[in-house]
Amino acid sequence: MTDSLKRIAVLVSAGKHPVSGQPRHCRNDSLALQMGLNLANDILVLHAGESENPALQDYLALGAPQINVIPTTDNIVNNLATQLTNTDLILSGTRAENGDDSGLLPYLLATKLNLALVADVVEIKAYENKIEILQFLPKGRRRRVTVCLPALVVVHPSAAVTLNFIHARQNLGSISTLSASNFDAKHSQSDLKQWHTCPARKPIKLAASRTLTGHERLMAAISSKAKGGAVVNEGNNVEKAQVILDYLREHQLIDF
Amino acid sequence: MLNYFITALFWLATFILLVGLWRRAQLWRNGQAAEWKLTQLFTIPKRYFVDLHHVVAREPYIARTHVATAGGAVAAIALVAINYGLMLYSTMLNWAIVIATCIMFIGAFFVWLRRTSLITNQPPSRLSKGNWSRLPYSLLAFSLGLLLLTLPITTLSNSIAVIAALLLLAGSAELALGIGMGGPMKHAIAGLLHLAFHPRQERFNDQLSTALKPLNLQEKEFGINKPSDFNWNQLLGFDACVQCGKCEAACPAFAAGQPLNPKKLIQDLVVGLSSGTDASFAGSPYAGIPVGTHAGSPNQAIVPALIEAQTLWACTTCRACVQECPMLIEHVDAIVGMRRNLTLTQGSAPNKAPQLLENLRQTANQNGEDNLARYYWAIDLDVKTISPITPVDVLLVAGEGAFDMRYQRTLRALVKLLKAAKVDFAVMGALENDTGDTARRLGDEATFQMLAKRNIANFNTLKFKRILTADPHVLHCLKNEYPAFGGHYEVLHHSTFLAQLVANGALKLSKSTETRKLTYHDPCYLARYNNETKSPRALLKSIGLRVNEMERSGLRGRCCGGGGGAPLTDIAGKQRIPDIRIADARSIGAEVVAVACPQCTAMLEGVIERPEVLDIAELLAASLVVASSAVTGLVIESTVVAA
Repeated sequence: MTDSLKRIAVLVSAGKHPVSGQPRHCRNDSLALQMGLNLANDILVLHAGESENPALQDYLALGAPQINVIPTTDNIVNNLATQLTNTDLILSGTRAENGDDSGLLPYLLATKLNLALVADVVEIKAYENKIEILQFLPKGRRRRVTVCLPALVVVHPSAAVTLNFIHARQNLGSISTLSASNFDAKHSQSDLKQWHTCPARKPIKLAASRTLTGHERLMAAISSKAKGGAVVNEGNNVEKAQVILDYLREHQLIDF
Repeated sequence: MLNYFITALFWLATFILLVGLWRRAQLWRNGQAAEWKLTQLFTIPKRYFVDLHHVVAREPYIARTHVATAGGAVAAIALVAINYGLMLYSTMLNWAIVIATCIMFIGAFFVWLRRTSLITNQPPSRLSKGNWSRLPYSLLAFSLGLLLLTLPITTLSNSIAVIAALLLLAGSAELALGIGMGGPMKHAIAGLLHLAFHPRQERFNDQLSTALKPLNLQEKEFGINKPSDFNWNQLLGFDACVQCGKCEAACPAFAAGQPLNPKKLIQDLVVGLSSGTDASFAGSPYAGIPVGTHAGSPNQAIVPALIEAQTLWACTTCRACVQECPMLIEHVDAIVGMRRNLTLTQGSAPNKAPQLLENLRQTANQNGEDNLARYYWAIDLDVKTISPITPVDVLLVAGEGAFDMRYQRTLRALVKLLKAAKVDFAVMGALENDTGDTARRLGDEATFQMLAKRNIANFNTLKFKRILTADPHVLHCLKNEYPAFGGHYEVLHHSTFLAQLVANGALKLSKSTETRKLTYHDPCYLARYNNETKSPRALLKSIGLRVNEMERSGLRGRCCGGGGGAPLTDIAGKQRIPDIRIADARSIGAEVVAVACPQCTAMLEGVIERPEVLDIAELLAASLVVASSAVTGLVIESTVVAA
């Protein structure tokens, strides 16, 4: 716990159990909430959606002292942004499980507020006007980064905080709705056009298809040697980028 | 001169006792209000001589000893009250006092004898030492002193009279100061009052009273945080404890070396209600937790200052302690009460418990599975699924065991038997939610009540006469705990129902081909929670199987370790509880352990070297008459379906 952070906000979204479809907290956002609670007692918890959503009860039990619900009638990025000026640190999960608060919301919000966004954070330490974070990288690697405040931090699902569901807190916390008149509808009309919705696409892996002989596949399976590729250390940025571009063209992974 | 001494002593002792009782009553009054009537005092004699005696009589030695000691003492004191209290000084009454004190003296001698190493190598380790070791001497002193002083002989030499008077003084001090000072004789007064104002009055009306009391969550009742959160009559009950340690001897967690001893737990609560430390406790400690490091007072949080959380989480809620307790103390209510506070206000259930509770909240089953999958095991058995428009006779509620591939074999065997007996039944299908049994034992009353209300709402849309289940935990929840939420159903365990079918000839079974030596393991939630020990044995007998009883069976059966969420909280001990139970089975050479509960099945099958574990339904299905010539399960099923 530290006093150096003046104002912390956590964005929480309404989740859905993947099997039962029952409304619930989004675990990733709950991790962000718990991280916020570990940093300060008094935090601002924001949700864009319906105040009656049973999922919000979960956040109360998980420690949110009060949840402010923002209407989704207009552009929620703008609506959120109006509540988040003068905030030192904004925390959220990587993405919501469904609904209006999914997609690239943290990124859009960071752009709107002109804040630095740090993704995949697993640990936060607060100092005067800055935070030191531990960032998740693949294959067990981690990176320590110092970030000047204000900033928007997106929490990784593997963040090492323990969630504590306490039923008694449901009665202590409260949910309040911020009325739509608080928000300037003129701006949002034009911004609304920036939202493009489309069905989620399966991510395409940028990997060259290789035809290997039976013997090569066997050797690849039984030897621990690196499976090809090259590390480019020489040259300036343009030359390095050219190597990658050549590789992608050679394997027809891009068509320009 | 001596007469006046005894009179003065009697009235002084009575006064001291009443002051002590008043002081102790102030401590009990720190507890919460509970309904009581003064007329309940009149119930004491019957409850003492019938209900309490049933428990005490299981150990004849101490039963007889207690009859002599307490009977002699009560008679002697009553006679002293008449003869000396009212200053009659009749010689005939003195003779009566002499007889009573003689009986008391003999009783007290045997109390003393049990605590020496004369008759056995060692007094039982379950007995407390400390001031309980002093008690036999106090009793001997009281009876001997009173005997000598009331002997209707006037030729007592002065020195003997002085010694006798001192003996009587010492003994009377023990009796009179006990209640006020919290000495061993506290049990006599608190015990009798506890019988009158017992928190579960139904127990004395020949009714089972095993259901937990609901919490009013809207009124912010979150269980027991400090000793004064107990009802006053629960506090009184803790004070009744005689530290005989029968609970300790029966406790599976204590036997497994987990940090729980029901006797110490009750004594810790006594420490809590009367303010102090546990340093004077002179019995077996909680494994791994030294005595003297904990303290409490009525308004101080119990966990962890007085009792460590791991002690509470080690309990399997098997009720063996409650079954054994001669003072009829309700240990499990106390433990679950304290667990409720931990879970509801701190969310601190250990290990896998929080994940399970989250699954129950979000999916209404324990492992986050699809509720549609609950009856996948029945998909090829041509079983009806109940719906609001299809009334049935029997509604089969499978419970959580339905997701477990091992227990699905049992359920399939049960369906086979029901079909053979031409029972009109249907399964509950996707409408079934977990009963909330595990959530409730883990102290999560909120999740339990949510699930209970949801299940009751579902039941109310359906038409059925009876509920049948193969899971004693489901049985207990639906039958004993749902009525408090408005769900009143006739619920039968499969052993009870199948025994009825066999008895009325609907189910025809041949002699079993099983030749191996067989024993039967009583599930706690079937035997102690629902008093069903006969039907499983009758069923096994009906197919010609002899049950070789293990060391502990029936209502006194040893727990498998699977109840109360104990496999989830998973408190470490020196050994595992199911290993102890399987050792029981192996010690009588059993090659098959018959079971009647999915939890017991899972726990006992978790032991590596063990006899085969088979559910009663499986043993019966193998002896179905229609299937007698069939060899494989597949053929058996097709035969039954065709029939």
